[in-house]
Amino acid sequence: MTRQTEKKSRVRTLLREPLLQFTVLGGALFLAWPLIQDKVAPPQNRIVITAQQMQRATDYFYQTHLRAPDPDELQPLIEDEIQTEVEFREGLALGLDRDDEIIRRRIKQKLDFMTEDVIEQAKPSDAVLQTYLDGHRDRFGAGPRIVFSQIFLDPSRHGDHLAADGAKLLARLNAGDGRLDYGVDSDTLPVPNDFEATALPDVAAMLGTEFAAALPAQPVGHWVGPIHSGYGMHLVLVREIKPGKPPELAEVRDQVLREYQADRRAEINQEAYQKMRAKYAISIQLPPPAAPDRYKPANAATVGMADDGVPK
Amino acid sequence: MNTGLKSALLLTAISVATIHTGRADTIAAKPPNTKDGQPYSIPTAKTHPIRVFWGDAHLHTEFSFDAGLMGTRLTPEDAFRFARGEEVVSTTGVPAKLRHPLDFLVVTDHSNYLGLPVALREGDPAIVADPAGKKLYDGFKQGGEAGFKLFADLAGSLSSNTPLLDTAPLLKSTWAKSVAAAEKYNEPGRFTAFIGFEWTSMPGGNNLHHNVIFRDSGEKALQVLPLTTFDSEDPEKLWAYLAAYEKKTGGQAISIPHNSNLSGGLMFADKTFGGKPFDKAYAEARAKWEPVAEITQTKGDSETDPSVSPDDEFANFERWDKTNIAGSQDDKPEDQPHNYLRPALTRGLRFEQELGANPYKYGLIGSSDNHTALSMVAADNFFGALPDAEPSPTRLNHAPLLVTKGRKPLPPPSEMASSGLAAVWATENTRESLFDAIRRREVYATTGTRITVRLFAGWDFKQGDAERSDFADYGYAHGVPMGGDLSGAHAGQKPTLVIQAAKDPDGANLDRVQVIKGWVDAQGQTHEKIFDVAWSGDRKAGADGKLPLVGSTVDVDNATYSNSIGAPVLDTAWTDPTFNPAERAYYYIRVIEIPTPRWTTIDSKRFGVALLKTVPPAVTQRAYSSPVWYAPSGT
Repeated sequence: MTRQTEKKSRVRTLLREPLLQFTVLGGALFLAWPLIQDKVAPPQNRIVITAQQMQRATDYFYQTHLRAPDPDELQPLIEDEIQTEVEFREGLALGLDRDDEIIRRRIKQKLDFMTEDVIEQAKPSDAVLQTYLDGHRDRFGAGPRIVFSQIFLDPSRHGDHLAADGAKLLARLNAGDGRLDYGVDSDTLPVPNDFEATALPDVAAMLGTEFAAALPAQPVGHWVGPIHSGYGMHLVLVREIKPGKPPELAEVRDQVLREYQADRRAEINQEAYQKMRAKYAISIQLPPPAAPDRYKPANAATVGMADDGVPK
Repeated sequence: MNTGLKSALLLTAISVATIHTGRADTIAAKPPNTKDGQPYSIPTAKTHPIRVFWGDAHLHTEFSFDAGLMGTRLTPEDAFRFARGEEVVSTTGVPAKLRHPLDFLVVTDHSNYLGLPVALREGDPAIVADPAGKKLYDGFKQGGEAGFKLFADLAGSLSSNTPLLDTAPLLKSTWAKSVAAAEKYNEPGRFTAFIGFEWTSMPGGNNLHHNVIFRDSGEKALQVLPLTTFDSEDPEKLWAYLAAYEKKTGGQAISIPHNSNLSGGLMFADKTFGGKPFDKAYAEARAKWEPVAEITQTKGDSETDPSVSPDDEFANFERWDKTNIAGSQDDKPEDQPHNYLRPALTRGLRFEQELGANPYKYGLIGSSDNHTALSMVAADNFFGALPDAEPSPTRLNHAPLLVTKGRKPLPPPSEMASSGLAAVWATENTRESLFDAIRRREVYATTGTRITVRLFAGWDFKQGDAERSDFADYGYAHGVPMGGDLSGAHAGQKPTLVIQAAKDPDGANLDRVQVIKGWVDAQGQTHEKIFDVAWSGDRKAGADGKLPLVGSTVDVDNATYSNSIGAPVLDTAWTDPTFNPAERAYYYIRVIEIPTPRWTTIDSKRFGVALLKTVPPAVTQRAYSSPVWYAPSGT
């Protein structure tokens, strides 16, 4: 092959390259478009298939074929996008969107999703989360934890001697003679006598709310009582109160973020809605009074019950 | 393996898991300890459980077709937040909060039509594009009778092989949401959010419902979709599904039957779903996949029935014993022994004698089955099982639910029981620890109050052992806890049960502790007997051998009671006087509270409406322990 034919052939190959064809034609169209567009279609009838739509169509193709589409495979995808858009607009022009409950709900839902995205994506700063954590210590297990022992006096076993028996035992315990035997001194209760550092909600779960409420106020280091619970009477030795400190944000970040968002979700939704609602003047037209039997059968019937079975 | 390779593999695992769960931070189980090495919760240094964890293994949200279509608008996330103790606003706008948060919750939405109410409400394009979906959508939108028709069609289709519409895409996307909610709220050491679903089988309107609970995180649970009854109504197929799950993922899952009381005799039918006699393999599989059963819930109690246990003066408690769950079939007397757990436990012994395995080896739990996303069962804080029964001045008089021509109406909201709870003796509050305790049956049920019950059975216990200060250490060392097995009695030995029971510390005193024994004799005859073993005050058994009732302090007009009767704690060491080492037996504990106002009585007072004559003004709340089983050795 001569040098020249080689060059010609290269040019021919190049000219056959679809990419080049696209580029040249596209460039020409781009330059000419301002001149011709108004003759092709009025502005409201212009359809632009965006790069984003193209990308989505390509991605969708990839999901099923696991490869990118060839140009001739891309064309039907583009056509489909165009057809959908054309028919959608024609439908809109005919007013088919109006009075359609599905579309109404769908659009409302999309708006809700937008708010939801705002909530999910508004990544609150650590400072914001820290403030939230400080304001809701009790929700993140940050209350005091108490190391204590308890001796139980069962009212149904001590009867009228309950108070006296308790006072006597208390005096003996604080005399420090070392005689402490839970098996003898404490009545039966399926709850431990000795508690390691325990959070108050866990104390409440095992000994009831009354006991848990009284416990943190007890002095440290000697037996006190009587402390009452739903079970009866207790003598209590608080050994140590590990004061409540908020857990490090790093420790409970997930939970704080979750609760912060749950709280803010309601607020943001409400704020957003009220802002939009304020734009409207609303009047409500009541239907004429219903005929007496209008709701009778429906009322009985619609009060359905869980898991109910087979219809007629 | 070199470190680089290891971390590359780890990264791959993480990214795969991330795709599955959609949340990178929920993949690895978080360590239950805080960073200074302290347990987050109460001390857990002991290897055996030191406290009960309270929960609900059965709750529906708006994802359930029935709950959602009947108005429930609360989500699984709401359900978990509420159970953890946060305040939420109910579907009907009533603020709700628990007095004591739960320690764990399983959201068990129906797998059939999972997520459909939300899809219909939102006009999900995937659903309304389907003509069948559009029809449902139109019916739903129209409400009234059309809405009811839609609901009835949906419920009815559960018994068919074909759903009314193709729900596969919805099942997948809703399952992902359901799993994500549990992942989000699961906090090892503080609150356990299990992944689960309900498999709602009800051939002919007879209740064969089961709840599936996964031990694992979303990474494993998302490798499967919930089984529906369109796939099969046969519980053996459910077990096959569970087995396949375990094989595929290396995880664990179990299935918990509920509302046997509404099963038309089908739950404990003594033959397979296909009508074949039980064999050993069947019995073993059933005991493996169904280690526990739900004995009490809002739609009635399933312990036993007066017709089955005529000598049991406490048997008539919150019964729903007129029809099956569809109201399509009256309960026949011969079906009742197949509807309740006590007679089933007893017949299980006979099967074990014949087959070498016990198909009805059930531990016992309670749960709510509420369809409001609110797990509330306290009589004085009861939001009903459906939005229709949330607190209102009219709820006591709401009509019977689902009135269908030619069918018996099911009981009205006022006949719902404010029940129940699942109590788990576990070492710590994690999915793994709680699940393992359920699988080994170290669990019990209450009808809504927080009664503590602890039981050990052994050969060497003696008087006084129930009062030891090291009761639990000693009990585990010398016996088996509830849910356990005893065997190998030496000549002359009798089993002794050591029992501690304590009242709800924020509730009513206890009347008595009973041991319920079932056994089968050499002729294959089954027996049951109730022993009063500990009680308050100095009551003595009458000539008929029965302990007098404790009395009642209930002031019906004011809906109050007083703890001036009963005892806060009851304990005993009880040796079976009727023990025959050749006879298989089980023993479970029933703890009875003093009478307290029923929730309807409290409602009458609070709303100033007339007391109902159709329900008792007071009830005796109770706890049912899992049994301990005895088998002769070498069998």
